[in-house]
Amino acid sequence: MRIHALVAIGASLLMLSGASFVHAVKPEDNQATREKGKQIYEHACLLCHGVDGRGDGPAGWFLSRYEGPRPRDFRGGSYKFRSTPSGELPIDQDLFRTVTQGISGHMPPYSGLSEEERWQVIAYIKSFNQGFKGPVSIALLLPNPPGPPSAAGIDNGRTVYIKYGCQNCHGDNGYGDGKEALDGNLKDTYGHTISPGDLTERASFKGGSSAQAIYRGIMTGLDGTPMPSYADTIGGNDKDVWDLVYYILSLSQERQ
Amino acid sequence: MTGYHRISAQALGRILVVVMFFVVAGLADWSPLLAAPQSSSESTGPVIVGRILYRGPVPAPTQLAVNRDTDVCGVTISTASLSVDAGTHGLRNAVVHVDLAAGEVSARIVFQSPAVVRNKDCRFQPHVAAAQMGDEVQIFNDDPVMHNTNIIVENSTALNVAMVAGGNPIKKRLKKLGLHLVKCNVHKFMQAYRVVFDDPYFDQTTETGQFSISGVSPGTHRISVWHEILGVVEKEVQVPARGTVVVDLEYK
Ligand SMILES: [Cu+2]
Repeated sequence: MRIHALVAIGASLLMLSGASFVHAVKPEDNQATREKGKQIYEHACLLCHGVDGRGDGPAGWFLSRYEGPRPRDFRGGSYKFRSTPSGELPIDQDLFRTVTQGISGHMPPYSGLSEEERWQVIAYIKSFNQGFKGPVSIALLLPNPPGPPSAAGIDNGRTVYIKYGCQNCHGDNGYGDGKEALDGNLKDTYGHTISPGDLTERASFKGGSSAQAIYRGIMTGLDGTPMPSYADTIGGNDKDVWDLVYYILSLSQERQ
Repeated sequence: MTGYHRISAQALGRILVVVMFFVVAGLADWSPLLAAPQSSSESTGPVIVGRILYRGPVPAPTQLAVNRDTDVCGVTISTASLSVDAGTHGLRNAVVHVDLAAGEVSARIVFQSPAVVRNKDCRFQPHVAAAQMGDEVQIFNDDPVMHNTNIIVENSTALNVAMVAGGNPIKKRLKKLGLHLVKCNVHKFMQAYRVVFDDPYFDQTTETGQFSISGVSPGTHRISVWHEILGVVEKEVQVPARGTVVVDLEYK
């Protein structure tokens, strides 16, 4: 383990407050940090995301040529995994989470990089998009899940699933076989055909399969895809969303 | 299409000026002003009026099969991308813009109406509209079925919101310039356009192809016109210091 990681762990142990561990080692976003990030990018990210961050690296070009989703275009492309409203850029913690966890089935987790290295590469990735120089997006309020789920709540979650139109794409039983998917109508913003998540398979939850991650995906939507944000239209109806989250999790219970 | 994709610091400056105006004026209630038509106090400056014409063949409306919610949407949806007035050849739903060079932009403040996107009878209404950067876009769902309003600008999501039946309307600021493609992923036949500019020198044509743009500084300017299937036409126009200048443009 790297020395700076040890130092960071020590520092975080000393901080007895609830402050997030990641803040303890986040370097300042300056030229030196971005320069280090560039070196990491070139051996860890460039193959898919390309020299200029266009999502057209040697492997990315191939991945995106015939079917979606293509690797993120860091210059102006939409970010799927955010805690911010639809159409907004992610906050730093969103990028840190994606780099750390990876994207199930699409991008490996980079937890092998030290936290400082992850922040460095994030600083470099952000330099591709001028939007990050503007005001920082405000994250939606993402509460901790109430628990534990109840049978009545899961029943209501099924009703909400239909009311919210989830079955149109994810299918009546969540297998990702809804009519829009079967008819090939689901395209990303580049016009590539993409498939909706199979909600019976936790590995298919690209933004993470925890209750909170699913809640976040429903509220923010996945920009660049047909998955819309529900935060505004159902605003204030938090209980229904949590019931829906637990219903969705129940679909993959038997397969775990 | 230069006028459709330019990003201008001046536009942001103007928005700031508008905000500061409100702060200075200490107005408690913005809604009457925001809802006011864009024509206030323009009696002195020049006005460009004209007509966009198209004399080519007009195909019959396409009948698209409805794949779901037929009880609400009907079995087919009739769409006419080309709407031309038979008597005058005036082209509806074209967006007209006066392209001013940098530094020519007038400091005039214009209060726009909110840009509305209404999901009604499984269509987006209106089908085409122009708006100014920073305007509020209000999205409503009048139908008893779910829609989503997915607005795409240059291969990127500008806004993609679920519109649950009976859910809240959406109110957001327009933050991106250029051509906005509006789609519903629940009903693939639903499609509309918004064109967003960084200045107020635009209009969209009426049923008879007419437009009117005021507040432009005098001089030689280029007028550019966008239409969803006919593309772009442009023309230079001499704008006098005051009075009305008439200019017609025709898609050939
Ligand atoms: Cu719809």
